[in-house]
Amino acid sequence: MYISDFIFLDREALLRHDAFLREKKTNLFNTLEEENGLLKWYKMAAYSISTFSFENISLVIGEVLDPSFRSPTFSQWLLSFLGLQIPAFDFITGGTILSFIGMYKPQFDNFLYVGLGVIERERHFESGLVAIRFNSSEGLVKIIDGQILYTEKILTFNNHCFEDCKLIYSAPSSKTLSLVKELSDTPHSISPWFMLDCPEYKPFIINDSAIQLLRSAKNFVQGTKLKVIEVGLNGALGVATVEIC
Amino acid sequence: MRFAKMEVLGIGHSYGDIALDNDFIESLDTGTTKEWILEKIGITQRRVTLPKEYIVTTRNKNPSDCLRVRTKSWLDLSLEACGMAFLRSNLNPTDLDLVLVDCVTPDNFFPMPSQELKHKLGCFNAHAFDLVTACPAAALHLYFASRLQARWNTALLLTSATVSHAVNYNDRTDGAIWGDGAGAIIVSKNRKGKLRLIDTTFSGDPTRAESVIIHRRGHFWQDGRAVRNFSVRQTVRMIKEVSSKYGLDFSKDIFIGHQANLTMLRQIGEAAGVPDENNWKNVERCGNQAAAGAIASLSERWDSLPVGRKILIAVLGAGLTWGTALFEVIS
Repeated sequence: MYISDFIFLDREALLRHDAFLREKKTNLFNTLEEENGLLKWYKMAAYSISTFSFENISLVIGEVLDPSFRSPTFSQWLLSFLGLQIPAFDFITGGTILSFIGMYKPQFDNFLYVGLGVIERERHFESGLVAIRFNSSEGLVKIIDGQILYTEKILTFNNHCFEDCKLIYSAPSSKTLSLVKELSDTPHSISPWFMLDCPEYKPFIINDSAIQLLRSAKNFVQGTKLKVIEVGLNGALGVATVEIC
Repeated sequence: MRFAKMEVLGIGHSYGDIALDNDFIESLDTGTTKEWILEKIGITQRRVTLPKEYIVTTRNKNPSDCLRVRTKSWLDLSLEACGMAFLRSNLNPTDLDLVLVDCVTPDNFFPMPSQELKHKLGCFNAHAFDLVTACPAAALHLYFASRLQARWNTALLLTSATVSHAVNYNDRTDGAIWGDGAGAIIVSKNRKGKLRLIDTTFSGDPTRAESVIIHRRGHFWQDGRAVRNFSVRQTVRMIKEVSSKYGLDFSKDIFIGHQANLTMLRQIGEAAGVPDENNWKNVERCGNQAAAGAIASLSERWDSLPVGRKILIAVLGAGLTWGTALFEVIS
């Protein structure tokens, strides 16, 4: 499976869209009571991905951790807002979508994943949106393999082969950072290992590793293999092996 | 697109422990009558997890109060359904390597319902994810699992809903429709089962997503007439498409639809040429249990499934989404 295209918007960019939407006075769902303040983020997400090409997209998979509605799902709401007749459902990995795809190798030809992370009250995280187009035949990054481990099995993680791979990871907590550093010191050490140098970096609530990978993919030469560490909010730690195309 | 061969090892179900009959619904004095319910919906009883006294006194004005008074949670129902599925499949929770859960009425969105279920069951070797689309979720789960090519062999697919917790019992229709339930399927790619999955489909039209809405902590709402008309047309279309492709003969093959409404299911059966005895239902006794209904209906007949016959599950609903799963009874 390949990543053929993506967009990413941080909180600031999303809020710029919010101002636009207020001007536009969108009326869909306006009759509904806003219950947790997420609806404005839904609208910003919809507007953001409206610039994205949906050509040949046969499926949209959404992920939001704290949805405004139980039904419709986030992905169905987005497409409803955009007026697109594409099948959609939500799939909640906790932010380990690359590892999931590498691990299970889903046989969907061309699909769009849209992940929205908004936990405004959490000071250590940043809200953001990522939309990733996955393609079965070609793209910027090829997902070769993946593994997801839950907390109780995390110690087996160091058996995963990191040799000759660079590493991308996000560190939402000092605990995670310690864990990754610990792994790098094991006999199966990460060599060489690599942490993205992003002075402005602040972890995003979901998919931050995927975002970091996609933002920096152009910095790597073709054929470079990377291990992307995804820290799932479901107590899982994912590792996706990818190759720059 | 490759499609993994799967067999169903066991199925389980669970219903709410409180029965609301039509006399009770009429006594709520919302303008509905027993005659109207039987004529329009065909439901005689719905199984819920809310005490009658609570419904009478509050009409569930504030759905958050359900957490305080309910007799069972979505998780309680799910554990019961899973227990039955494990027993029938002769498996233990540690035999699973994948768990997929659809629950539109969780207590919390985080931790995810799939993680809660995995933890409670003790599926320590399984990865667990939420895969959500409400009513057609059983078809989505089978569709999705069949397209995951690697790293799983035996999976639990769980649909669970306590929609009564989101019902406004001052509404003359919603109170008459909804029940609570859970349905569990255990499927495998490398173990022998009782049903073989022949094919599965999933599709949808999100431009009509606003037809069915469940607020995060609020009441259920739907455009009943539009959804009903859509449901009849789309279900008949699905039955005809699968019948045409696989040569189904409903004089012996079985249809199980979305258990939303008995009169609607009969209307579908008549339009698609499915005799009533092969149109399996539980909605008249249990109410609409959302995604759990079709699986529960199949589960009720697990011990007497007719070998050699095909069973078509064609379900649809919120999203608006729809899907099918075609099985053959092999043992």
